This record gives sequence, C-alpha cells and structure tokens, in this order.
Amino acid sequence: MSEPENENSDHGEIVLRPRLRISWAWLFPVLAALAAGWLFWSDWKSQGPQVEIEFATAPGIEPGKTNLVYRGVVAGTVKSVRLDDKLQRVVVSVRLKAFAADLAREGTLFWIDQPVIGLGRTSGIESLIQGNSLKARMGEGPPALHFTGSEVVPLSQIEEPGLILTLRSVDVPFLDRGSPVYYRGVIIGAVRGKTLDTNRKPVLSIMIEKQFADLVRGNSRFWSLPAAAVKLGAGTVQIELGGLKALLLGAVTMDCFGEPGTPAKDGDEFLLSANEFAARTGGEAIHITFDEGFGLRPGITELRYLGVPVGLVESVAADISTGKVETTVRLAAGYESLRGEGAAFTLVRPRVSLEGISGIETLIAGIFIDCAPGDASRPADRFVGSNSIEAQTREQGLTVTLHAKEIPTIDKGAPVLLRGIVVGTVTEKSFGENNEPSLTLMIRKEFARTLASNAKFWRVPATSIEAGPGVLNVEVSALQSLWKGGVAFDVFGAPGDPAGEGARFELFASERIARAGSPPIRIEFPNGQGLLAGQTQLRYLGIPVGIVEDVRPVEGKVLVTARLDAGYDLLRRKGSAFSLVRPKISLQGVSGLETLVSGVYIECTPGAQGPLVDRFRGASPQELEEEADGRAGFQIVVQSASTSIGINAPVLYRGVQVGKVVRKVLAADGTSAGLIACIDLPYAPLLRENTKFWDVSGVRASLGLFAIKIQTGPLKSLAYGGIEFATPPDMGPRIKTGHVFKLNAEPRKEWLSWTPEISLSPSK
Amino acid sequence: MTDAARLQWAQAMVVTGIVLYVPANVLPVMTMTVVGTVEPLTVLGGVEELYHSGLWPMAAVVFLASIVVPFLKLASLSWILLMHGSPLAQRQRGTLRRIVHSIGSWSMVDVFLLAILAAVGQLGALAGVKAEPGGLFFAAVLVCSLLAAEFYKPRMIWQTSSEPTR
Repeated sequence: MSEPENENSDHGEIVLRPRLRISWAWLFPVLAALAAGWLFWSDWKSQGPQVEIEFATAPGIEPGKTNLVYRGVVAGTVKSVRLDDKLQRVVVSVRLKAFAADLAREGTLFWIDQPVIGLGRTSGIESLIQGNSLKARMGEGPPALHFTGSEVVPLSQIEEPGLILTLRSVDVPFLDRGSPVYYRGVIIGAVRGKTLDTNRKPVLSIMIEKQFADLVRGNSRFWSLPAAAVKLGAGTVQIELGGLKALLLGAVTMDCFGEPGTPAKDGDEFLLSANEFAARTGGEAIHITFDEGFGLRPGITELRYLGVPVGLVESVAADISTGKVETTVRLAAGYESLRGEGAAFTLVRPRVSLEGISGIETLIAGIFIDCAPGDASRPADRFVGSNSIEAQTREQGLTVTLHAKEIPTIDKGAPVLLRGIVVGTVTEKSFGENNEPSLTLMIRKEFARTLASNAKFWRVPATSIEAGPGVLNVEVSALQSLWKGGVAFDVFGAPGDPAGEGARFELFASERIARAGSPPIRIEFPNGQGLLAGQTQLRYLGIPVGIVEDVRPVEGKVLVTARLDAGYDLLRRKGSAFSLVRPKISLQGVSGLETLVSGVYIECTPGAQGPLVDRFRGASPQELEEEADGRAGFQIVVQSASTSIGINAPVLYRGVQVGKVVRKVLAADGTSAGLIACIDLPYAPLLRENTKFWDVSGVRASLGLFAIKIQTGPLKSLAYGGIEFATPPDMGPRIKTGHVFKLNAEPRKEWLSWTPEISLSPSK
Repeated sequence: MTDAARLQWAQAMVVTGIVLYVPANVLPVMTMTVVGTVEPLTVLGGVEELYHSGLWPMAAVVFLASIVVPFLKLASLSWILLMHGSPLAQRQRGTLRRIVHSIGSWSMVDVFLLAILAAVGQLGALAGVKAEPGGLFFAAVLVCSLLAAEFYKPRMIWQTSSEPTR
C-alpha cells in the first residue's frame, strides 16, 4: 500500500506554501507603542487647563522651568512668558496639572514668590535656592482662565482671609503691612496695608483669618499696641514691652468689651484707637464745657471717677462765640450711669495747697477730669465743667467773708486753719463793701460748727520768729502757707453761737492782734525807731501782753496803735507808762539785749487806779528813768567852776552809789556849771545843808616818801567822773529839792573821817 | 532560526526602535538639579543648552551621536529591510549594514555617560543628576537597532525573492 502512496507522491511535489507565520518579534513594537502611548497619554492626562496670569513684572519666571506651587505642591508649570501688546504687562501662561485644574477659577490669587526678608516676616527663602516660583491661593468663583496676579505676597497664603476690615485712625505711625492683629495675645490676622483714603485720612486694611473671623463683632474695638509703653503711676513705673514682633512692627489689638454684638462683615469699618483705654471708652459721648482747656488733649486726657479712668476726651474745641472750651468725652462701657443730671466735672491739675500737694501725678500723666456722678435716672449729655477743685466743694460748706484794710499774701486756694487743722479754703479774693478787700472762705461742712460767731480770724504768716533772752523761736508755718499764705481762726473765750452762712468777720493781721480783742490804745512816742506794726510787743513785767497794730507818724510824733490782750485792763488806766525798750549797752550794765534779736518792745508800767483811757504818751527809757528819778528821788544842784563830770556820773556816799548826775547845766549867768544830781529817796536824809561834795573823777596819785598811792573811784567814775559827799556829824537840817551845793575839787582830810549816824528813811 | 524569522525579528526591532525613538527624544533623559533648580533635560534640550552656552562643538558631537546617528541607523536599517529580496544595490546595502553594525558597539556611549553622570553627579542638596524614563527609551532605541542589525545577516541581502528562501 506504500506503492500507491509513492505513486501518489509522484503526482507532484507537494509545495508547502510558506505560511504567513507572524513572529513573536512583532510583540515588541506593539509593546513599545503601547508604552510610549501610555506615557504620552498619562502625560496629557495629567495636564489641566492652561491659564494666563498678568503681572506687572515677572522676575525670575522662566518657561518650562518655573513651577506653580500650591500648598507646597507643584500644581503646574509655566509654559510661556510674554509681554502684552502694549508692553505694559507680563502675561505668564501656566499649564496646570490635572489635579490642580480647580485652581482655574475666579478669585484665585497668583503671586510670584520672591524672597522677602523683613523685620516682621521672612518668606520665600526657598526661592533663594530654587529660584522664584509662582504661588496660588485658591478662590471660590466660577471657572476662569485669565487672571491678574498679585504684586505682593499675600499675608495668608493658604486660604483666603475670613474678613477684610478697614480701620480708620488719626494716624498710624508704627503699623505697616504684616503687623500682627492680636486678640488676647493670639495672632488672629495681620495688617494688609495702609493707605490714605479719598479724604487723605489714613486707612488701615487688616485681614482676619477665617478661623477667627467670628471673633470680630460689630462692637469690637481695635487699638494699636505700641511697641513699648512706659506707664508712670504713683510709686510705680511700669514698662511694657510687646512681643518682639510687635516691637518691630507695632501691632493691632482687638477685643470686645461688653456683650459681643453681631458678627462683622467683610469690609466693615472700625475705629483704630490710640490705646486700650481709648478703645474701651467708645461708649456714650457727653459734652462738657470748661472755662479754659489748658492741658486738655484729645485722646489722652482721661475722665476719672474715684481715681479710676472711666472715660476719655475725644475732642477739644474752643467756642469763640461763648469763649468756652467744648470737650467731647466718651465714657467707658459700664459707666454710662455717671452721666446723670447734676454730675460735676472738674479739671484736675497739679496743685500745691495747704491741703497737700494734689494732682501731682498729673505732672507726668497730664491733667484729667474728675467727675462726681449725678442723678443716674436722668441722663444728660451736656455739662458745665469747673476748672478748680474748690469749685467742686463750694456748695459743700459754710461760706463766710472776711474783710480787712489790706490782705497781702493770701490768695485763692489758701487754707483756712483752725488750730493747725485745715478746715476750709479761701475761695475768692475781691473787694467787698466800701472797697475793702475781702476774702470769701469756704469752711467745710464738717467743721462749720467750729466757727462761732465770736471767732477771730487772722492771717497766718509764713514764718514767725520769737526771740527772747536765751530763746530764739523760729516758727515756719506749714510749707503750703508759704505758697499762698493762709487764714486761721479760733475762738477766744467761750464760743458763741455758730456763725451763719455769709457771716462777716474782720481779718486781723496776726494772731496776737486777733487775740488782743480789746479796743485799741494809742500811744504817742517822740521817736518810733524800731517799731513795727504787727510785730512790736507790749510787755508787762517782761511778759507779752499786747501788740502794736499800727505805727504812723502824726504831727512830728509817732502814733502807735496797740492792742492789749484781754485781762490787762490795768494797763489801760490813766497814768500807765509806756516806754520803748531798745538795746542799751553802758558801763552800768547791758539792758534790753534781747531786743537786738526780737526788736524793740514797749514796756508797760501800770498806772494808778485811774479811769480807763485810750491815749497815752510814750517815752524813751531815758525819759522814763528821768521821770522815775524825778519822781522817786530828789534833785540837788552841785555847782562847780568847771567840771569834766558827765551825765550818769555816780553820786557816792562812802563809796556807795546813792544817786547819779542826770543833767549838766550852765548857770544862768554863765559863771559856773551845775551838775543836777538825782539822789535816790532812801538816801535823801544823808544830805544836809552842810554836806560837802567833792570830785572823785579820774585817778588820784599821791606821791609820798615811801609810797605811791593811787586812788581811783569806782570804774564807772573813771569814765563819767563822780561826786562823793560827806556829811559832818553835827549835821545841819535836811535840804529840799533843788538845794545848791558847791563842788570841791578835793576832800579835806577831816571830811573823810566824818561818820555821822543818820537813820535812813524807808523809801517812799 | 530561519531567515524568514530573522527577517521578521529584524523588522520588528526596527519598528520598535522607530516607535521608541519618539519618546526617547521627547521625554527628558535626565533631570539635573543645580542649586535647587530642577531642570529636566531632553536630548535635544541638552544639545540646545550646550549650544546656547557656547559649546557648539560639543553640541554638534552630542547632536550627531545622540540624535542623528540613531536616526540614521534606524533609517538605514529600515531601508535595508525594505530592500530585502530586491536585487538592487545589494553591494551598497552590505556596506551600509556593516557600517551600522560596526558603529553599533559605540552607540551606547550616551547611555553610559548618563549612567555615570547619574551615579557620580550626586552632590547632596546642591546638585544632582537623576535618570529619567527618556534615557530608558533612548537606550531601548539603541538596543533595538543593535538587535535589528544582528538579526539581519549580511547574506540575507543577497537573497532575492526568486530564489528559494533556503
């Protein structure tokens, strides 16, 4: 069976048609094509839309290299950079990646991230190395392909700020773009920029981050936080330093006082206050009128209640028509009740008064307005302020007036003292009735009852010096009265009825005069040297009993008006003697030395029990002495041809002075000199008709054989000379006043041995 | 392997090479990071870069070695394979194939260079070179042309379609 097979094979050769066998090799191109295709497809797929962004400048932007970075991720690549037709703008085309296609919508902010190294913030450092890049912050609008890039790096790069607010202020010196906005120490936003509005007023644009946006309410207050603040208070110096960032850039602080209001909307306007206190006092405005406004400064001067700041002066304006100063004050929240009708507003300035130095803090902190609340149930918004503290207390005390011939040194605000306690102040100084100067006093309510109707007022001198032998008393009144003087009063004797409102009193020059309440006495002196009104004292037995009130020359004499203290009426009787005591230094002794310091005084000697008079003739001490001599002793005349014996020369008897020469006269015919000697009365019996007088002046030297004898009288007689006398034992009758003796130059020997027994009569 | 299979392999390799030639030149072969600047470089981009920086002889060399030569190789091989079985220009085809084959051993210089750059050029944060898919494609193109030249034996030039294929 194989044959036929072979035969069959002879039918021809089996042509094996080469089958179209496709090699596996063709898998490679397919795979390669697939791979390339997939690559290109994925590349194409990863591409989003192409957007165009306009910039004013596009530094460092290079096509194909610069990336668009969104949240740190490359979201696109710059494909081309070109200028627009007018060569005004740079148009950057960016091919977004597919996943970032959503960036192509309105509101998306594109900016060029450049290295910014500033005080406040440093950003874009990475671009120093990587070159500038484009950055984006996604918006929320409908899709868009054309954008205008931002020229500045936005402050919030990740997401849109929650709120953009506008702050207005008078000036914004420190704040600038990037200054943080704090809310209780947490940064909730930043200043976007500052510019001037159409009215050329500074406007600050701030942005609040979204998460904090609901913190800003309609009644939120903004104030600028100074970089550093120094607060000076009583006893404290407080230096506040903000954060370093705030130190460099300043900062804005926001807070809500009171109940939070409605949430703020985008674009809302707020007022930027200068400080926290100003921000707090954004409440009700009240208007206060002042007479003058020295020191009032808007935005700085505070309104205080019980020393606590409760408001701030918003504006100060002078009203020309009324001549007053109008201020607008804003009260802090919670103090609206102060604006009741009848509230009192007082401008407080530093003042030095007897009540103390008040308002000293205003020297540093500036003046403030003090307020006393009125009737809270009846709110008002217009008030009249007063400029002084007194005005505030005027209605709270007893007002009396004082009058005097002259009122030196006392001024408005001077204190009124009662035994050293300030009980009131002088509120006014003017002319009263009869053009007499008058003072209006305000006695504080609590002291009003101390002012009896018989109270005496006197001026308080700044200093008084009281001197006596061994005592020098310098009294300086309260320092405050040096400033303005003062008025003091007291009641001498039993207090009378309390004085009523508006009572009138006389103002005495000094306490002594006031004390010397009796009617004045007038004394005439030939010479008023050393007499000082209000100072020269009247003394009786060395004790001050009165004071000279007035000294004035009248018809060649000095008329002294003096007042005696109560209880010394005996000195007012007729016959009382008044003599001026001046310092006297003589061989006899030194007298009146204390007057060197205390000045002269008037020594009084009470007269007999005569009737009360008010006019006296004063005398100098010499005259008085003479007078006393004339009265108490009796005079004799010792005649001599010539004598060197002077006045005051002693008259001696056995070395004992019994009198003195009081005058030296020339005899009527000029032939001799007469010494008028005054012999003390007790010694009068010593003088007899046959009494011998001799001169003991000078030094008597007798030269003997064995001795030189030098005799002198008492030391005093060395100066004045002296007269000695002796009476013989067979004495003659007693002499009368005016008896004339002869003066011998020397005693005879037997005179010296005379020793008569004479009983001395008692004086008087 | 029959000559027919060889022919098919050679043809497939050339086609693959042509397909891969496109991404090899479009995709970046490497990324150069110099001081933060990330710069993806295609072969053509590299040439351009060299030219712009004034190194035009280098640019010419790279252009020739990396773009013209691979292209010429693929073109030559395509022509040789298209002319398979034709009695025309058999001598020239033989010469061309020989040339292609001989320069094939040098064609990987670029890839070596890239490999060395990627290995050496790591200067930390300052600079770095990273090979990119383009390099892979480029190498693949070269491998394809090599294989194509290898599969297509010189004697196959002389086979005409009238002759048995054995």
